[in-house]
Amino acid sequence: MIEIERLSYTYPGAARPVLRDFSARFGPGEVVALTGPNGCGKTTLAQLITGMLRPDRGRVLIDGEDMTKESLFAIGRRLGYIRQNPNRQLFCATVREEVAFGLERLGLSPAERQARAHVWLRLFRLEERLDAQPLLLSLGEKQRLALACVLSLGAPYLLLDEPTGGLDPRCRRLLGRELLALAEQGRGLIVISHEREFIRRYCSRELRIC
Amino acid sequence: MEAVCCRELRFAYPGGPEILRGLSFSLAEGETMAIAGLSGCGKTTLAQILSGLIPSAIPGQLSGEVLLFGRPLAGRNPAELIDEAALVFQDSDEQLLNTTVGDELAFGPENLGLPPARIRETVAAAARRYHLQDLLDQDPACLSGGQKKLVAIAATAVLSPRLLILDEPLSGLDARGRCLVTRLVAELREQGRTVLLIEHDLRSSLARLAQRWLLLADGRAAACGKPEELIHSGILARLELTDDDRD
Amino acid sequence: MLSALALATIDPRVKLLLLMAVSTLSLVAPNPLTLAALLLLVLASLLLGAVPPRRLWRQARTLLSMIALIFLLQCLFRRGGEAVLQLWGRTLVTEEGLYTAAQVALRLLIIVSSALLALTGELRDYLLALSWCRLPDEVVYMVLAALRFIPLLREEGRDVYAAMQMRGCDLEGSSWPGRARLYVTMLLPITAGALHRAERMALAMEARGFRSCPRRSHWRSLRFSARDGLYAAVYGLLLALVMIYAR
Repeated sequence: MIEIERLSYTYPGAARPVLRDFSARFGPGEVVALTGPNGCGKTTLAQLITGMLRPDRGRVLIDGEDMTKESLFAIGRRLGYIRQNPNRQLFCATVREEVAFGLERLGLSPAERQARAHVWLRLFRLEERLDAQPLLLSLGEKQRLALACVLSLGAPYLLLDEPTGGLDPRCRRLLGRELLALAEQGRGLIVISHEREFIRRYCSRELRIC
Repeated sequence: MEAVCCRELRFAYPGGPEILRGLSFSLAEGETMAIAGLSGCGKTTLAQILSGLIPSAIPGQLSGEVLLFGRPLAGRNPAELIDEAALVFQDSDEQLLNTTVGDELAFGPENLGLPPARIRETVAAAARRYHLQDLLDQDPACLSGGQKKLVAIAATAVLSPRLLILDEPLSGLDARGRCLVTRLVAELREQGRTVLLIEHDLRSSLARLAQRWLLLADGRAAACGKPEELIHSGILARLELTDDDRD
Repeated sequence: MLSALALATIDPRVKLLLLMAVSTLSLVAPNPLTLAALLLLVLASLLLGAVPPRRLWRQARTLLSMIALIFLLQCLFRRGGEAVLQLWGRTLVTEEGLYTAAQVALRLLIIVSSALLALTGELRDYLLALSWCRLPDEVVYMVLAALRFIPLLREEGRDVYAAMQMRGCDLEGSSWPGRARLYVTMLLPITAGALHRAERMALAMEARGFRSCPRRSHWRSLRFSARDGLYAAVYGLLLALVMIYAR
């Protein structure tokens, strides 16, 4: 369970807080949609949960542990984060290395790493682009790669910021079904999205911020 | 007069597989057409070819015939084509580089060497037409996603190209931004401009603005026709362009 | 009277000229006294020029500590002449050391403050000034791109750093060789990102007709007023006086 207790945050130099006493809970086994107009605090909330921003007040607890002051590394082991802009999460020379990057640090055997990488790359239809440079892929392909990389790490919770942005209908469907499957396995997912249809089909609950 | 006439268009990036494999289609003047297809099918590549960026700025092997308003495209760079075709990029952050919206609108006409007085008139007219008067002195980087896209489209339309190509104009926008852009494209259509939209989401109201849809698959035109006809024919499902689960 | 001295509204060409003049003079000035007088003149023009002192401080802060360090090093390591400071029988600072240190530090301070003088006013006006000086259009836009992109690099670095950590890199917990290697890994996406963005911007510019005609026009122009001329003349006079009499 991810518990958010009375988070408050004001951007430095801003007149008003973007989040004030915000509380919410996200449990395992559900796909929660986080919606609301731009500027209302969705991305800020995402950054507060993932630890990229530290709240002025309030706490973030993951499975009972207070993660508000933990390092990004510690948070990353429990929560996978996929940003809206894939360019800032891809940093290896080839697609193959990109997926291997996170897997290497999980302590799996080479065979297991290979197998996992293959499964996720195949799911997102990237198995033919293994030697391509991540930053030269099309936007949709980059997004799929980022999804494959983070999802393959197997963190119990996932936060996805506008994951359907550059995806065509087929990939949207693949992603939606995959999210449902992950939820069924007991993982907790939070999806920030504007796509009403996607939310309707694949999210169990909606939390609207305004 | 046909705005675009493409015959057996083929294109491959250097050292890569063929992306376009004999694409043929035509676009009438004053028509609004939406191009859709799965990611990687060549939509953006086509947009770059029609605007002249390929092959002059982006290398690759191009063959086949493309006529823009009756004249062959071959060998002409974007600057030479500016009266005929102009492209609005998918990512407006890449396209907006000036420090104020006014400068951004003036950038194109300045490049053409137009006299300053005329540029000032053009910018004022564009600001009125696209409702940007209040934003003229603002830094484009500080605008919302929807506003940025509006500025990018306005700054390209101000060059008065006969064909305006919009690459995924709704990409990354929230509901309000999408509304703004869709309304703008509707206005462009009313004005009788020839507009080519690249839009992967055929359910959007933007796609519905198009008079015809061109569906790409395997680097070729899989279907081309009126939206209602294509929906009823079931080709969308066959090409996996709908959201409906087949199983 | 004070508003007449406000730097933000002085023609950028004048400011660029003053920057060059003051920097050159500081390299030519014979002794620390002249340099100190030059520095006082520049600082006075900054403070009277309605530049917010807090902003000046923020911009100069890091450089000031570097200059202080250089001053100290010169004092300690440049030897010659009589001892100025002695501790426990050892000579720490000599006359020549102090003299040279003062020269170097003052020169750097002058260059920094005249740069701050030049940094007042709007970027777009400076680009016009550079264009007026017949700098090629490509270079002018290169300057613009650099100034727009550099702040973004820091943000990107921060985001990439965070992404790496969340994907399993324990940067804080690992040892220095490991950390150094990881910092190098960060350089790839930031550099690639910067190059990619530059390339896309060049494409976007071409798509809007950049370089389609030999000389771009400008919809805004710089107006050289009597006030600018007077400011330049008086400043020039003061500089001459300082060079002649402050020795």
